Amino acid sequence: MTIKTRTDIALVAHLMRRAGFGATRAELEQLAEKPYEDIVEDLLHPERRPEVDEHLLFRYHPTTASYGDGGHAQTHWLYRMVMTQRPLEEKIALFWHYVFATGNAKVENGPAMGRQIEGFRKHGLGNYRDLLVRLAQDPAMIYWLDNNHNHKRAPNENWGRELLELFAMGAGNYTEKDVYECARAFTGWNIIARIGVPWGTYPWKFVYKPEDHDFTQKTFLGHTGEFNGEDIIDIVVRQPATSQFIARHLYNFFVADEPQVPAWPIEPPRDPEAVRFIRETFVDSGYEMKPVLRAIFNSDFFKQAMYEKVKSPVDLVVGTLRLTGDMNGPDPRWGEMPRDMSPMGQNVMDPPSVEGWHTGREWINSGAQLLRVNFTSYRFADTSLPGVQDMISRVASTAGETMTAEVLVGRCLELAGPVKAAGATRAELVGHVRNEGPVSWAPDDYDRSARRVAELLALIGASREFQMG
Amino acid sequence: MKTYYAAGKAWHYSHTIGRRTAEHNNGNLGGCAWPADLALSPDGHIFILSRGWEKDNASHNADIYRRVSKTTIDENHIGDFARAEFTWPAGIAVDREGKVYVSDEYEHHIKVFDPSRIMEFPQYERNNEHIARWGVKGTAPGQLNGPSGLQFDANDDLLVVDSLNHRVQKFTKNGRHISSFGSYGAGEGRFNRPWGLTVDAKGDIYVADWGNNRVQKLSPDGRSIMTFGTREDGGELNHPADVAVDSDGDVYVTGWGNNRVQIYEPNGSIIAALYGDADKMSRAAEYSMARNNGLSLVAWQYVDDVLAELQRFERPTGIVIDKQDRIIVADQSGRLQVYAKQKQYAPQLF
Repeated sequence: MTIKTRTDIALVAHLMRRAGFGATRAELEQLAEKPYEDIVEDLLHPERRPEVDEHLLFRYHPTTASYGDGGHAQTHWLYRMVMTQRPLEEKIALFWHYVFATGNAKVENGPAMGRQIEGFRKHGLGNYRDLLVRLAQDPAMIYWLDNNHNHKRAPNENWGRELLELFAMGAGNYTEKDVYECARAFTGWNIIARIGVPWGTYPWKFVYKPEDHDFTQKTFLGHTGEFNGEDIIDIVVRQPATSQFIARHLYNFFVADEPQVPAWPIEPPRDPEAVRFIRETFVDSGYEMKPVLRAIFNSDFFKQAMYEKVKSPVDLVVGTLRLTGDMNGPDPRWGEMPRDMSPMGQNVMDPPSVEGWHTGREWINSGAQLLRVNFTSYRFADTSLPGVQDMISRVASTAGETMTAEVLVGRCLELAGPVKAAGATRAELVGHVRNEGPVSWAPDDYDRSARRVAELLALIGASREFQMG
Repeated sequence: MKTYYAAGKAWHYSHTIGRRTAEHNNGNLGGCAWPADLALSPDGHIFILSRGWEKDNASHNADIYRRVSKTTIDENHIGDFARAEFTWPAGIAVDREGKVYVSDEYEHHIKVFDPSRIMEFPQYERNNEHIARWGVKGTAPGQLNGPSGLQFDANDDLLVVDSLNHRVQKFTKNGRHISSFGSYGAGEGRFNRPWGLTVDAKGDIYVADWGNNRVQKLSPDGRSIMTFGTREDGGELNHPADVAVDSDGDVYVTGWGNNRVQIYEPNGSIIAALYGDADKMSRAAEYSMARNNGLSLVAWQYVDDVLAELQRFERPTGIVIDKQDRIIVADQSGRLQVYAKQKQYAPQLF
């Protein structure tokens, strides 16, 4: 007989932050009834949970139905992140968007950008080799990295170079000759640019033009042949540098913050053993993503990495919305949400360059921090939001008629994350509650105490510790 | 010219009106932006309600995309009004006097406008154009929650689809509540987020029951008569948005979720479906393509494989039928497509 064991709430919360965008207390308690490995399996099989009801989104936000312009494609994606019951589906799409960073600032085609993310969502948990082939045929990527200008008689190296440097192997693992030969192999991989005026923007289509492909012999990474693009990808995927590069990306995104990507050739991983384990699992699985993610989420190094990442703006914003229940459906504010997030340093579908975002501590600066604090505190302080009301009622239901400051702070830290706050932060929170006098849950005092809980949650949202996930 | 025919009748594609724009420009150069609904004035003009953009762009406030446009059926664009008056405009209707009523499903109210006023692009007077406004949010009789489709009945009373209350309500023109019918559910006389509606010559009411993937026909006092669009009759509807009835009683439903207009006979038998046939650009579209030194027009011709896709409906929303039985369909590409019905038709086979 198999004995099913419950899982520690803090560990479930950690998993849901990394494999998703966090969860409410009710969701965590429900998940915690299961063994940890079962929760991981459910995350890895998104088809077990219902899809986002896009009919509802498209009816009330019609501009998102065909992705409109780039901004509407962003809205579409952020809405899905907040509303999804399949969080890993959106998180893996975000992971690949980090690695294969493509920006609408140049592409200027919302449908093409939206379809690229759709591809990451649909195939992101599949095979890395297959994903690279799809990426090489993705119209937004072809335009973003100029492969539409990569011709038999005039190769353009942009896509070939970034494939090697940023999408697979990392700098220092190939020669300039390899870049040139790689580019030649992808000549003729082009797009049909479809004109949208006057009835909106329409997605582009991939087209292979054999008349523009260089069929002659190429020598690439020590291999010689009449290579086409897929042959190049097959060679690239088998390189040890590639598995090391992807393993480090996975560690950086799902486990703990690494130095920025350009420093990787000179700075070793913070946990070389963990990266080695990820790399070997990746190779052994034939470059399949599900076995790798399963191994990561079930590993000790993952479980021990709670609060070892600075939340990205997406993690912070989407997580706060999910936790507080704000914008939990169609809402006129969705249209402006990408613009609100951009000053925090992350405009999804518009990374600063093909290198993607610098992560970890670089998310934080004085301007961004102010916006982060305002965003979370404003929502935690809003007692009309269903998620805040739920947290208040959970605090009240576990209390006697009165509650000490220490107990109140402990309970709120638990419900807001759990958030790991000790030392000076905890002391300040306790001091703040004490200064306001005893917390009473007598019926006449309930509303005032509810507001105090919301205020305390807002202070927790503003804390240094809440920025870590 | 594309012709659909069935049951001794035919529907000929006629032409396309407008383009996706916030501009208005007198003459034939106007358009709309994500049209949500259509209405006809007593003198046959078409009013187009634009849902608009949801975010400001570099040069324009998003609010001015939400508006009402007025055009003739031969695309003489008369002008736009009611800019910056709405959050989520959803339904439009015209009373006997020619006044225009618009529902706002976020603000939970109805606004009334004088259609003779024209607001030049890109000007607007925020919340200053309506001549009346009524409706408050709630669930009690007479209160509204997400009002969408609007239609005047033979008494010139206004039927309002009270979408998030899953019912239809009838009001006088100044907002006095007369009656309500329907509630949430999938049974007869029940609704799931209904969207648009119409009234036929006998006063019977047809409601696009969006969440239940069907149209319900109701008596003037709200009793259920019949249902269209079940899987069994082969005329399956996917999230229908609106409905219209022609002079023969044939019923037209915009299949918002499956990009077609489904046509039924009065007894509910399915006849045919229209899929969109905009094989030529509207005048407004030609203007916009040509004004960039003709470059866009060249590009358009170069990618002729695109045309077959572009001519199809993309999430059709509003539908109206004029006195000549011309069927006018709005879709979210920002245009109207017009079909003419031929009441007796025998296809020439050889």
